[in-house]
Amino acid sequence: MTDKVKAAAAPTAKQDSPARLVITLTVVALAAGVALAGAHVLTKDRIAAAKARKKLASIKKVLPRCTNNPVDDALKLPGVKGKTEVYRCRKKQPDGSNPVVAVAIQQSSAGNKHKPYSGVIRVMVGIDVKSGTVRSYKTQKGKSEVAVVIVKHSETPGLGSKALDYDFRKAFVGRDLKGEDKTSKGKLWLTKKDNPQLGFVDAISGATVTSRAVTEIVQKALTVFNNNRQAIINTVKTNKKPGPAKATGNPPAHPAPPQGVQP
Amino acid sequence: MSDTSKIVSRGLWHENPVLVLLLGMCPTLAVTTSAYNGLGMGVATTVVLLGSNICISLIRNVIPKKVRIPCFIVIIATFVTVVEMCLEAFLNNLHASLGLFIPLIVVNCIILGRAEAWASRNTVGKSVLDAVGMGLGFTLTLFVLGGVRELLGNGTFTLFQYQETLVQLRVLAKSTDPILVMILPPGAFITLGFFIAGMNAIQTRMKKRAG
Repeated sequence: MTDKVKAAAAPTAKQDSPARLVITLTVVALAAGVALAGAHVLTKDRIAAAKARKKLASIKKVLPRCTNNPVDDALKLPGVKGKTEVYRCRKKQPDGSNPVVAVAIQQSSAGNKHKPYSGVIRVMVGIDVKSGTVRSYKTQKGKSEVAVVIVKHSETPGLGSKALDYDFRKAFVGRDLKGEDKTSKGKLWLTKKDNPQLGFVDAISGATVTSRAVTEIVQKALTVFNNNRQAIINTVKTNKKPGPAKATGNPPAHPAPPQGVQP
Repeated sequence: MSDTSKIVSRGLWHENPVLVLLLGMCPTLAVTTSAYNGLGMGVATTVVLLGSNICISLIRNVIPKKVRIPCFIVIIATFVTVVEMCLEAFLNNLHASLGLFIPLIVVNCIILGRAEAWASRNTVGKSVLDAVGMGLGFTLTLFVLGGVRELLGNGTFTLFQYQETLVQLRVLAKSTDPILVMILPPGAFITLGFFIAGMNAIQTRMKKRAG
C-alpha cells in the first residue's frame, strides 16, 4: 500500500516528461479505439436486426393481415418533404390477382405547423387504398383498433402520452384527406377546440398541443397517399432489392389466415 | 467487520452515492419513472463502474499524474459506448426509454469520482469491491425510487420488459386515478427528498444508539 501512495503523491520527474504524456494518452486512446471497433463489429448485426424488427412490428400494427411482407414491398415516393417510404400490403383476391389493398406510411412531426410539446413524434398510419381513408380493424381478441400508431414520442407521461390511447386515436377512423367519413361531410382536420363545428378530433385535456401535432401528422400521411395514389397501385417492381416473388403474383411465404373482411 | 464487507457496505449504506454523497443526480432524477428503468440505469452504470475501476486500477502506476483525468475519461467513455451498443442490440426497449441518459453515464460523477478517489490509489481487488458496493448502492436506490414513483404515479410496478414480454404488477386498480405528478419531474425531487430525509433520520438514530 505504502509504495502506491508514494507513487501517487510524488510523481517522478520522468513521469512528467512531455513525450511520456503524449505516449500515454495515445496508447490509451488507441486501446479504446480498438475496443470500440471490436464492440461495434460484434453488435452491429444485432442492432440492425433489432431496428428492423421494431419497424416491422409497427407496420404489422397498422397492416395486420397481408399476403406479402410489406417491408419487402416498399416504395420510395415523394412525400411532403423529400422522399417517404410507403409500405404496401397486398391481399389475394378470389380471381387470383394480388392487388395492393392498403399501405402504411410513417410521418414525423418535422416541418409541422403544429409542433409537438417536446421532441419529435413519429406516427405510422395505415391507409385503405380503395377509399383513401384511415383503416381500422379487429384484433385477434376482437377489440377494435385504429391503424394509427405512435411509433416515437417524448411527450409528458400521463398527459401528452395519452395520444397513445385508443380513445384519442379512434377519431381518425375512416377519415380521408378532406376529413369526410360516412356520417359527416366536410369536417376539418382540426381539434374540436380549434373549431367546435367542423373539427372532429377530441383533444386530450391538458395536451391540446400534442393532439394538434398528431392530427397534423396523420393528415400529412394522407396527403402523401393522395399525391401518389396511382404510383402506389400500379408500380409492380420495388426499388429495393429485386425479390422474385413480386411479379409472379402471390408469394406463399406469408400464409396469413384471412380472418374476416377488412375495410 | 472484515475489510471486504466494509468496502462493499460503504457504497450500499454509509456512503451511498445517491442518498449520502448526492452524486449522479441527473440520471437519478430523470430516468426513475419506473422500477425497470431505474434498475436498468443502475445496472448499466454498475457495469461501466466495474470496467473503469478495474482498468484504472490496473494502469494506475503507469499513468502520469498530469494526464490522468483525460485517460480516465477516455476509458470511461469507451465502456459507456460499449454498454450502449450492447443495450441497443440486446435490450432495445430499455435503450429506447433510457435514451440520451445512457451516453450521459460518461459524465456521471460517481464513476469519475470513484476512479479518482479509489481506483487510482488501490489494488484491482479492492477496486472491484468498491465498484460492486457503489454500483449496488446506486442500483438499489434507483430501483426503489423508480418503484415508488411508478407505483404512486401509474399504479404499476414494472420488473421487466423486452419486446412483447412485459412483467408488470398492477398494484392500484386501473380505475383509480394515480398521483400523476409522481412520474413527472417534480415527483422525482419530492420522492428523493423523502428518501434522503429518511436516510438521515435512520443514521441519526443509529448514531444515538451507538453512543
